[in-house]
Amino acid sequence: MTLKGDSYTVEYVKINNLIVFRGVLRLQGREHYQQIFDLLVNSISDVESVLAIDMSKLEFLNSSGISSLCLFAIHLRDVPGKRVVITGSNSISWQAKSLSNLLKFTNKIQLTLI
Amino acid sequence: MKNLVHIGDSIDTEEGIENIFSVAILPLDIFDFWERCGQFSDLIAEYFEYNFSDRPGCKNLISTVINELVENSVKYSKNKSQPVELTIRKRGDRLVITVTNSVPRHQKEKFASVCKELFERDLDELYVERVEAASRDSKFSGLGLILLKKDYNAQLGFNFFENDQDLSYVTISLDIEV
Repeated sequence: MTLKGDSYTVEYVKINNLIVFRGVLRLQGREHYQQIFDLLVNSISDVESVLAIDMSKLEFLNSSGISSLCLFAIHLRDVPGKRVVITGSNSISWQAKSLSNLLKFTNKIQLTLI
Repeated sequence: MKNLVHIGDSIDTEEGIENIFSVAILPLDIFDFWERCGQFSDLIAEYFEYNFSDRPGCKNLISTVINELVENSVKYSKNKSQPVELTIRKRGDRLVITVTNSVPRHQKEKFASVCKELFERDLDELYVERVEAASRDSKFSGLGLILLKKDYNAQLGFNFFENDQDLSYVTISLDIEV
């Protein structure tokens, strides 16, 4: 399944248990991220144990989007037996500086910045 | 300007300024075409990129910071037909940014108390608390401002004031290393 906007795509690659974010995500408010949040929730429900998320191609994410990822981290607390592995990029400022905030909400996320 | 209330860091916007870029934008113009917010932030980032050519990734950082400030001011302006005034100044390896917008009178106290907490609380704790609260209530939470202060180590100052017609405004000043 793929969500597409003018400046972004969020793709769930079921065969690889992988979600790939690409482009620029600066939606107007948290409610505008609902579809993406739902994709994350459905994907973690779908995988057997580990969901991988590749953020390294997402150039921008505003604070509303970061909040939505945090809400997914909160959701993850109540999903038994599942974990998330996130890959990000050190050369993209929001990822280098803010992606680690997700770890404050759950210990079920592993983050690697490359 | 009257009834000035200052919260947070005192940020000098005059001493040692090398470059300056000022612009006024109408919140309505952004609301109608939200993508403009990002485009506008990218434009400013490209403008200042030349001044920080020895800093890889500076364009991405500048655009991210400007975008947060503009989104914030546009969303919470009282009068969407009244310009938001934005000025970006370069000082050494830093940018000093001010943004001024109108504030709804009934939300002024709430906004001021949110700003005060940025200087009174542990910011990691505050961020977690606000995100969890924001999941239940979509009103102003200041999450973007918390991230700018906490993750980007920005100095932040807030000046609340009224004009001669008793309309309320806030100027947010931000001083950040690029």
